[in-house]
Amino acid sequence: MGRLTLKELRETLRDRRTILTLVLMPVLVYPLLGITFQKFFITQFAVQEPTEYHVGFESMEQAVEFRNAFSQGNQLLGREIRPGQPLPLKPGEPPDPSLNFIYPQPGDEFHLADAVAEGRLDLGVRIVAPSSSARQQFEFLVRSGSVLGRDARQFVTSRLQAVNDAFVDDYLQSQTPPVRQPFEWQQTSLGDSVASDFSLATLVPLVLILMTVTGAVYPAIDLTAGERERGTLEALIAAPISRRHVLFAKYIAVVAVALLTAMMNLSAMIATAYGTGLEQTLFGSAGLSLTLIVQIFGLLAVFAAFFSAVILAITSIARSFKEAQAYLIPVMLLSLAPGVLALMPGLELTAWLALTPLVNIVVLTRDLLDGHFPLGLASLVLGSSVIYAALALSLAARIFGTDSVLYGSSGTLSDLWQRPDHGRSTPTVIHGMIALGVLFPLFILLGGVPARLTDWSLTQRLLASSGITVLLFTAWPLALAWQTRLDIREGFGLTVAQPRAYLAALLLGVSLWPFAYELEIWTISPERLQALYELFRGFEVELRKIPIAWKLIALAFVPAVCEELFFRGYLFRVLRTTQGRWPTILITATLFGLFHVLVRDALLFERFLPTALMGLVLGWVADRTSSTTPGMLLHVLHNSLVLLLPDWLDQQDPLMSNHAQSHLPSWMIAVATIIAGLGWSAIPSLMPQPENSRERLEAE
Amino acid sequence: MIEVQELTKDFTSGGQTLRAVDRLTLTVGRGEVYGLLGPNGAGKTTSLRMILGLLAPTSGDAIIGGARVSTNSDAVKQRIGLVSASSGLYQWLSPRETLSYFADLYQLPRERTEQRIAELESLLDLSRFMDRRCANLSTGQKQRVTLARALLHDPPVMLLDEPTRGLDIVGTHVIFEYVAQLRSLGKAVILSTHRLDEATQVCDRLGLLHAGQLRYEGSFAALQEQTGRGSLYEMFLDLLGQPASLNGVSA
Repeated sequence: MGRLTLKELRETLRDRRTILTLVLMPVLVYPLLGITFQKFFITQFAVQEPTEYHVGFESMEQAVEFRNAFSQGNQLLGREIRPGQPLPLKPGEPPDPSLNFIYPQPGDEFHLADAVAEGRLDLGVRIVAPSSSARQQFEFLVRSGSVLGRDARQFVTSRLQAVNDAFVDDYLQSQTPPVRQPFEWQQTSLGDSVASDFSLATLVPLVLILMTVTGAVYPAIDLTAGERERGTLEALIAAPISRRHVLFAKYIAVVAVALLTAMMNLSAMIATAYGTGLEQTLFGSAGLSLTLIVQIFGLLAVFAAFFSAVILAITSIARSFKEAQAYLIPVMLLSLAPGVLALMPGLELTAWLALTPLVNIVVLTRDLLDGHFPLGLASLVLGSSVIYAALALSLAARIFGTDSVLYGSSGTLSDLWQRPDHGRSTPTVIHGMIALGVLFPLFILLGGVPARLTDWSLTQRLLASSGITVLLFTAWPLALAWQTRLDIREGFGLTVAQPRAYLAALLLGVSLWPFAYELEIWTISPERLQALYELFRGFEVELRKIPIAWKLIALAFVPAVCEELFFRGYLFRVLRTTQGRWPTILITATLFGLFHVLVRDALLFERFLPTALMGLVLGWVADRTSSTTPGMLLHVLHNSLVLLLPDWLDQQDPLMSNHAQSHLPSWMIAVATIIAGLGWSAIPSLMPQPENSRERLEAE
Repeated sequence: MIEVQELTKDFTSGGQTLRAVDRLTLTVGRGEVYGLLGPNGAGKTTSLRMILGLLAPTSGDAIIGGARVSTNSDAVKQRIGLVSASSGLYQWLSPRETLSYFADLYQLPRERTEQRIAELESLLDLSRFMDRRCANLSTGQKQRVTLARALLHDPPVMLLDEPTRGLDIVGTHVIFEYVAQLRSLGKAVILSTHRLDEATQVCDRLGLLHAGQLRYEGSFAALQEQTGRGSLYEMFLDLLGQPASLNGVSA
């Protein structure tokens, strides 16, 4: 293995294109960028108005008292600005910020902490102990994660600190208690730790990750598709060595080059930051430390391990350098999207984000630069990235060097669209990938459209939403099936199952909603539930005005039938051609869950678990009944009951509505468990199916 | 040494199935050179790839020195050396580094590797360019390195797929000399080529493949008797269903 890896590295590192990416890019790009940034900042500060911090108080009296304290410090620092006398600034130095004092007028309803938490104030100041007391004490309220709030606090405390320093000096010099009194202060962080301000430091992880990606891409293509194109792959595969070993050696080589690139970029970035004086701007207020560098590099190593595996899996499919590039360009663009998403102000590392590839690393690196290292979540980030890397690598191992890749047809893309002469009963993996590849972006693009049609009535929007569901989950796969001469009945599992299958589906359909409801209660915090309630409140009020039949058709029947047709019909059969029973059920359930996370422009991660679990049940039913129709019945019933649930709960007990987070009565859970158990037991007695399509064919 | 049993390969593209090789059966003994001849697309390369285990056959099997390719492909690969016109060399490695790398892949002990490299260097006259990067070698030199790579683990079976493609007359002559040498070393050789004239000289037996099927097989004299034709060209044109005069080829 070592010799294999050494050869791959030798081959790669001798290539001048690798050297270009590895050495020249960072050595040239960062200094140029650094100079540009420096010029930009100088220009910006030369023309910009001083920053104004909004500082709030609970009363005018407190504002006056604080101004007196602040002015003392300002005078001591010689920074008091007099009209007509602008302070001389050093080149590149920004002007002092100004403070805009905000306090309530008599009779106003004003809550200082709320104003800070909601971002209306950068800083809230409370006088804990007034100036008449032995030592004046302040409490500073800062919105958690707010850069402006942090800077405002630093600005005012530097003035208070100046007074305290002067107090110590006076005391030491005169040996008598000085006239001035020292101050004390404390900070209180408020809100949901939502950062509302953009910092240049947030760009650093994205830039480093993009550069690491750039470093990995060329060797990954060259060592897989490039090797096939040059004809060396045939000789390699002709040797008595396992393809997995060969691939793993290539993987290590790609990771090594990616890491070398990361190291070069990090070093060049640090050198540039020091050289141009942008250290704090780029690496946060705490600046750089050896620990921080090691931590960042560690994260880049994890990212390189993950991304190298992903791109190797992709380039292993390609039969030429050009083809590999064509596959990787959209992947790189796609990977930019979560990277940029991670720059969003206010995006906090949660358990869900920690499981989201790429975003997790970018957000964790950003938090590191900001001085936070959430150990539990960081472990989740590292663990999930390693798992994703292993999955991608195992996929690459399945593809790499297979005869279809080595000697597959050299046909063009038009071959994909040529209607075959003969029909088929199961869709191919390629067709499944095309179906999913087209569906997913269209789902993101079109999914939020009805919510934006604010001029339309809710009925019209529901109609549009149903139309989009039918178009994406039914019309599109059916069109693909027609094009590929797929037998619709067989290819989508639209067969009539045994009567017991429908009985089981009926029982499961009416009994699973309490579990879904309870799962939501357990997994969603009261605050999040309230936020969701706020988000959908308007929609819910409008929805109650819609006739129930129309509601059931648009929100229960159409989505259930269309989704079953695609997930448990088409996609299920695609996966069964290569996968066993349980991997197929698991993959379709995961995809089903992921599609339900995106709702009306919002990412509702809490929907993943209940829908994925529902997907497991539906997948199991589809597998055992060899038909999509029982699952459709189950899904329609489940959706209908979930839809009618809020109305019914409100009628039973207003406190039990879906935003009150109350558990269902235990008798209801018990009845649901019994019915679900009956439904569950009805299914296994049905005829089991062979493990996969090949076995099924053999069985036939 | 080589026993091919009803090897069949179907390719599916655009919903259509094409049979590239149709129940190919042949045997090649020790010290025998078998010429697998046929027009482009006849199935020669596909057959060789199936024999080596690079392509999974749709049906049939091949047995190399007692090892079945369907069940023991690693043992088969250990017994075969492949020289293919489509095989390339690592541009950034020298012939010495290339041979050393492949010796590792074939799990040759270090001492044996050095010994074999020295032998092949002398046998194939590689010493002038052993430490130059392969990117800077001529086509003939590259072909010799490819041959050395295939012979490195001293396999009893050699598969030569169009080994003279792109070579000039001298280069071609050199390769055919080596083929004769392989025979003298007792190796079983299957040679796929377009050079019909040279094939008649170097091959002990010939198999004429067309549309995946082995149409004629035997020594050159036996083929002449079977087909009633005096030259391989005529036999070929018969296979293709074209009169000799249209192609300006005469016996």
